Amino acid sequence: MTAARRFAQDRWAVVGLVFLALLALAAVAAPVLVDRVLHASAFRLGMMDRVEVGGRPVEVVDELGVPVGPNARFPLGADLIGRDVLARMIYGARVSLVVSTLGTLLAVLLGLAVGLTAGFYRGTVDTILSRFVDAMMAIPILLLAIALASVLPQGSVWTVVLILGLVNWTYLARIIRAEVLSLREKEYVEAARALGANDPAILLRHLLPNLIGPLLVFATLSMAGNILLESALSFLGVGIQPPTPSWGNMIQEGMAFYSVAWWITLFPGLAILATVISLNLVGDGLRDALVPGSRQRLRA
Amino acid sequence: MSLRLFLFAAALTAAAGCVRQPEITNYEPGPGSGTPRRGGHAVFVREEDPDYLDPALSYGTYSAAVNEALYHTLLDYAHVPGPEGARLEPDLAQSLPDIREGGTLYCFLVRPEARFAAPLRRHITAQDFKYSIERLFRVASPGVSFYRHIVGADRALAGKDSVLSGVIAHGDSLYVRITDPDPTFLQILSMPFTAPVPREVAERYPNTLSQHTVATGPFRVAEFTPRRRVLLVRNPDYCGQPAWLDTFELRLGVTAANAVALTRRGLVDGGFYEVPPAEFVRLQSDSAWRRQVSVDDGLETDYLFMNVRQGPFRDRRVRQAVAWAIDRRALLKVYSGKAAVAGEFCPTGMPGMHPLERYLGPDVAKARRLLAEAGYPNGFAARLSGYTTEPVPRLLTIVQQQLADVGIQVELDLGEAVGYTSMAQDTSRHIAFGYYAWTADYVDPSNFFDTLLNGHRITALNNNDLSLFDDPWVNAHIERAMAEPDDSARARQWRAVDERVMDEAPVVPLVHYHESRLYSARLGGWYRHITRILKIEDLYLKEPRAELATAAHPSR
Amino acid sequence: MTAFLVRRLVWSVVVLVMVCAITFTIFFAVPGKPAQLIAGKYGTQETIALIEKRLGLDQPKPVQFVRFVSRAAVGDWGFSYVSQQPVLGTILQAFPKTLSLTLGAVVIWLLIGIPVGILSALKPGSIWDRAAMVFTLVGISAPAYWIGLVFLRVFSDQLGWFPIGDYVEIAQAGVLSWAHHLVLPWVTLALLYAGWYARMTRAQMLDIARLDYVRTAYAKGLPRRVVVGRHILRNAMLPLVTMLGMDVAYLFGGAVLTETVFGIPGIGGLAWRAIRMRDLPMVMGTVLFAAVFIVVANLIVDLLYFSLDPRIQTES
Repeated sequence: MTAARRFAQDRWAVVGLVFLALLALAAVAAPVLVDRVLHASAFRLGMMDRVEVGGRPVEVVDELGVPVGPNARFPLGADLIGRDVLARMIYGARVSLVVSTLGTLLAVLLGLAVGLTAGFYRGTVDTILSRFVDAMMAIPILLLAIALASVLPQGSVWTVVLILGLVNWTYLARIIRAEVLSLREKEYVEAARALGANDPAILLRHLLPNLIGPLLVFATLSMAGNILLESALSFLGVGIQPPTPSWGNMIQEGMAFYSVAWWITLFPGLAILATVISLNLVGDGLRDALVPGSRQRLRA
Repeated sequence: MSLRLFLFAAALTAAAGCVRQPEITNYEPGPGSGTPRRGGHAVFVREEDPDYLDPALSYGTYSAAVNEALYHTLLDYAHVPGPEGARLEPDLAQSLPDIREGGTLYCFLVRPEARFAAPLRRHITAQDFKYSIERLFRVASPGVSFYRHIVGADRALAGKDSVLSGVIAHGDSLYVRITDPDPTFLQILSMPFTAPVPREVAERYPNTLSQHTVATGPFRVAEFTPRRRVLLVRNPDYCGQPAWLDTFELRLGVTAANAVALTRRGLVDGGFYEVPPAEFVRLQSDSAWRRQVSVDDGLETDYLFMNVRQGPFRDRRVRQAVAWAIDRRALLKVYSGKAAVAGEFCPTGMPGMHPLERYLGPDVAKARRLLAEAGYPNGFAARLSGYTTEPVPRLLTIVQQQLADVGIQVELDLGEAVGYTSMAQDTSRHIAFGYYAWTADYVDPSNFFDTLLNGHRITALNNNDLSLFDDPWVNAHIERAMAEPDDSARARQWRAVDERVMDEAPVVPLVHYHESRLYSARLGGWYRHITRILKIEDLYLKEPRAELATAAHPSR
Repeated sequence: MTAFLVRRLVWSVVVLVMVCAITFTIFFAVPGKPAQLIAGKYGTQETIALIEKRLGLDQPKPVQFVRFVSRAAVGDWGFSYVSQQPVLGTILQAFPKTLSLTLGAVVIWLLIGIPVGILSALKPGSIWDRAAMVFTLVGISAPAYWIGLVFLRVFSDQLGWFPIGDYVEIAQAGVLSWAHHLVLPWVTLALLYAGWYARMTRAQMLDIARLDYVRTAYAKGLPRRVVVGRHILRNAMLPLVTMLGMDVAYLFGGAVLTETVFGIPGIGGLAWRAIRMRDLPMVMGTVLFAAVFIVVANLIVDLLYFSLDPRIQTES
């Protein structure tokens, strides 16, 4: 059975994949979706506007700063400065997904580079790199992320991407290194070398295909972690800065008013939950399908 | 949320509140009336530790209340609410000083009963005052520039001397000589920076005076456990009006939201924090608790500054267009109503100042016309700097949209609050357009106009005239007002300066912030002093209302 | 064995020094000067210079770094720029709070996670298994602070069952009050980690169940209970213990999000504040403190695996 077939048999993984695909579609089509379909805006402030609620005109944001809740014009309510929460969530999907994907990509590149080098060359190179990886991993992720966030240019999306990449690559480096070390010992690598093929050839031909599996699984799970990390950074105020919407900073903005305007915090939180769950489901499915012998399947 | 649902939720919360806190109806609402009674223990909370309990180093409104309860100096403000509170009275000095030599020599006599608190308990001499003023320069106090007009200060600032020739002490007589007359110098002398510090203790604990405090005020420190609490007890050695409370505890590490919840449950009497917006909203909807919230003029102006030497902002009409584009009513909502529209630069709570009502817009047509006249019929692009602590991002997002409506496309550049001030103050950064908020350090308009808009005070670093505004008329009139001895004439002059500043529009004042504080029902004696600093020595615990105290209530 | 131990110890020290170097480097990329921040809005050039001298910031960076490391090695971790308090003392004072939070949460998540995992593994595909999978999925996918906030609002604010924030010491308020204040943070933290343990337990048990020696045990007719208890569970524990060691070590460095939401004055909050305020000595101190635990945990795990699996000895 091919890996793809095995994956397709895992119902939940497929559900997760479908959700992610729809989410990605919505994110890509955000401007069209928000503008033409919903006739709303993620950026237009309605602070001094009024809406019809229960037949009566009500201020979108009242004098005390409390916005209006879910109604006909604002399906998921309005946020603290009168913007449409649903529209912002769709744009937020864009930002959160892009940032997490790019962050994962960066982590994959760095992790691959370091892991391959350490695993392949061994010796002093390996020792130094491994100690460096140990040192990076000895610093708690969140602290490292906050520290980096506070010294890099604030508010730039690229900063957040950089941070996510710099904080995650060590895990992949370790995994790749371990894989390379174990694959080295396999006979066909020895055989290939005996036949006179030089190092890069061995690497490319034999090692990389075997690394795809762990790589994909790592990438998916790392994306899940990145979405949570980005939202944590935004919650602490050092991630994506307003007015660019991201699910994390929407929660942060609405947090102070949670008791009187729960919708601003709840819906983005649910979006994060759903996305991360989907990513985890897909990641599990990939792991079951790609990495032989690790099947935990028992969902009928 | 529909109105009915909201009312239901409010009623439920109020009902829940009533069940949980029978106490609030036991007391007369508000700060209380009648004679205060002596005794009792009050608990306040705060999230951050006080920065220092050292009069030379502590700087900032939140630590000020505790420091002012511990450290009294030569003079003190009258302890009454309103503008009367700006009157200075002798405290550790026998009387208001003799001012001689054309306003450049201040002569004080220290009271013979003035004593340091336990464990020292010795008489405070003029030499102690001299030592503490000189110490400001030695420890690089943040307030040192207030005292730069003392003769000899320039040498001390340059690090060449550790002794000020302009401060002379003979027994109980203290003389302070300044280079030029300054009507605000009395106020500068009454800041806790000048509180006497005993040399023998300061030299023994040069870096840790906060842990070895020797009080000169109505309270002294019984315990200071960082991140845990500060415990003050009444100081029997203080020669002035004694405090009402026996002990005052400041519990640390409590966030504002928790503080509100604890106060509502009767576990805490108040705190040094702003009432968070959502809690403020809920308190306002509760008729009993609404009266426990004190909302007062914060002597603060939140404003936008424009660099008058850069780009389109060089033209006055462009700056005025920005002023006309802003709709301040929208901004008030961001502050949950705890602010007032700023139609003038100087906060209206300053003595002698009142609202000027300028640029009460928005007037989009006028703004566009001004821009067109200045040569920008299609607007222009700019970058607006600010920082990430709420509510600034929300505020600036609204401003961004309002400016877009008149054609000015603005990109927000928000940085960390902690580094923002020093960045904005660095002229080499050429920040063209940004947000700034200024809270009064002392109660005089010069703290706003002279510090922020006097062209003569522009420096390369740590510059506070962020617009690089240098108008000869304004400079001259600021300096004239500062030297004017007559109060009402001075007030008139400041108002004239304010009008002119609003005409030239190097800054666009947005709102005057109002501070909010929540107090428990049993706490009395809290009032808004003009310096905005709570006088802990005036706090007391009220008598419960007799009728309700005897009724049976479920015990807490 | 001893050679291995010595070598690992030496490398551990090297790692710790590298941690210091990394943190130091990050912080010296800061554009603003700490002295400038301390001087405040009225600071002049002279004031800033005076402060820099007072704090030793006018020395070249490598000198500052070497001075820090050499002093740290003997226990002098400097003084906080912000509070003037000794860094190590402040950290040690904050540690019991983090310890309380962590240990309580550990107990709860083990009590939840492992039984859930075992149950899932014993009845694969059943309704229990599916429910457990949902629970673990939610637990590992939810944002920590969001859950904490929801709990706080519902259980503390609305229902008033638990006090809000305000950590209390056992010594001052008694065990019951201390625990009462910590229930919500414990449950929040536990919910996030329980999921991982449930999944790991389940995975391990299923893996081992398929191994030859287990099948042999069944073939020999041993009752299920014995097979599970003696063979499967015991062998499943090792990776779990490893994970536990790493997680606990990580949390000893401070759970920033949980501590922030619940106002627990532990190391997480200390580190977070220090970073925001550019309080370099405190940042170095908290990062180093956290790193020590992680490095020690790594060391213990390595020793464990070394003694159990001789193949690894050839690798290093």
